[in-house]
Amino acid sequence: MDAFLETLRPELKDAIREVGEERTYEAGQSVFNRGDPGVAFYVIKKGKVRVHADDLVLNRLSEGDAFGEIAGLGGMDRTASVTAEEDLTVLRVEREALYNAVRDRSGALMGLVQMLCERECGMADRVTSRSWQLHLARQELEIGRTIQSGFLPDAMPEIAGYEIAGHFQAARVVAGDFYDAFYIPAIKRLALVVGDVCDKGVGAALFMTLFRSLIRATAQSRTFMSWAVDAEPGNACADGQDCEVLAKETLANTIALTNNYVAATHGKTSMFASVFVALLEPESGVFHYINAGHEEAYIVGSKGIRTALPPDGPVVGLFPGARHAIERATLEPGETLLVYTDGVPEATNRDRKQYTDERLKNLIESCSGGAESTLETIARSVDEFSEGARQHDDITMLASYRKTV
Amino acid sequence: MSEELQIALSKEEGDKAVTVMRLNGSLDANTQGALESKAKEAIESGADYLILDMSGVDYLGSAGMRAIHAITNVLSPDDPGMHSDKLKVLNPSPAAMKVFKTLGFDSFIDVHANVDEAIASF
Repeated sequence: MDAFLETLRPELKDAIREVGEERTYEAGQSVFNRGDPGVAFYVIKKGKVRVHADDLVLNRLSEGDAFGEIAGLGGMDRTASVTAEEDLTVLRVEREALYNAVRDRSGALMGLVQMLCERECGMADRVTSRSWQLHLARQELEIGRTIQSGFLPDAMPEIAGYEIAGHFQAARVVAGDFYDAFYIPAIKRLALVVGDVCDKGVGAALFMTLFRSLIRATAQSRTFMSWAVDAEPGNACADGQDCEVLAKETLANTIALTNNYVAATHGKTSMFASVFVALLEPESGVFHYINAGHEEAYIVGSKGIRTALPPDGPVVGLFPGARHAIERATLEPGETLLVYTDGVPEATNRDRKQYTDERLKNLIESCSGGAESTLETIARSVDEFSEGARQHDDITMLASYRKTV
Repeated sequence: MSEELQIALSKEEGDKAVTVMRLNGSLDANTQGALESKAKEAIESGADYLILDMSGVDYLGSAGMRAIHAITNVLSPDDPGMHSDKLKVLNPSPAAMKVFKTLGFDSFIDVHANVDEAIASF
């Protein structure tokens, strides 16, 4: 047990040996708990301890090490818990007894001051190093956030007769939700996409970039591939093919490729996304869609929700060969197609009550139309409901309003 | 919505090594890891078939569904993502059942209302 004691002035070492009492603890037994008042410090004679805050292990110490000096000598509450990891023998040095012993011994007093200064200096060192590590980790996450924001559309496509708006509010620095809107000239369709990758944080964010990219690349494949053979954007419909058939084919291929690619390549991670994809023909308002394990989307008119578009097929990325129904609907003038993620109905307030589907439906009934204003109304209502409670899931919405001519 | 998940295991007597895992609490991003590791432990110590008794689950999130899928992968490593004949779900609440159906898991994992029926289905 000499390592710690050998660093001390001889007078202090003698005083500690005079007043220290030997104590033993069994493996697993607690020496003290975080929050306990500090009355003594300890030097390990034999055995090992772990210094921890609940399950988080801060340090492991063994023979010759000392612990609990700062709170023990200062009479403050313990900042961490210490538990014996194997049968333990310590020298327990009580504050009052040590103070009495060093009171008239200037050499020991100087030793005590020196010992505390050295401990303080060591702690300051560790704090600086941890702050630096934390700073680096935050910086990495911030880079991740910036790069991830590039996986959301810069701006909404300008489509005559339509107003399109998106709302995205991440629960953490990086997110698992995404939305997308882009025009596919080759089949004359506006693609509207909302996805929600299971789980949260960095893992979900990595998969968000994968899902979003696969969906956009597949849906736009005719456009991208046409660049390789001629300079014109592909126009498959002009070749005399039925554009509606092509749109359905594109939709089916997009979900099938994304699903089967992720299931076959990343199936072991069990990561998946619920996805809503619609391909809308702007002139007629007719659209085809696949709702793969996603929340109901709504067609909202002047009298509230006209039609709900429920899921019909499993989430994307888990089940190879899964089948998804392709449905057809029409967005009439004055109507809004609203797609959102479960972060909206499952937003919680301070009492941990959920916003709920019912509240959302009731609010939508009173929405007066328009993409931007509908999303603003919902976002404000969810925000007021939450009362500043910590947001625990990403909140994402996409609205497409067909203007009345 | 509680933030904890209690997991109690019981082995069923019979020809097949069936273990029932009774879950109590919230199955979400915070607790999915605990379920996954408990299930893996049970499988490593001989459970070939698992029944997840979800009658006590008051919140089921998508991260919880991820854990359930991961357990089917451990039970049937050669058939990832196929209909599971080694894991059954027992008595989810209506809210949990809605999550099951919305995400389309009900086509790949059978849900039972009665434990004997669930055991007999293996």
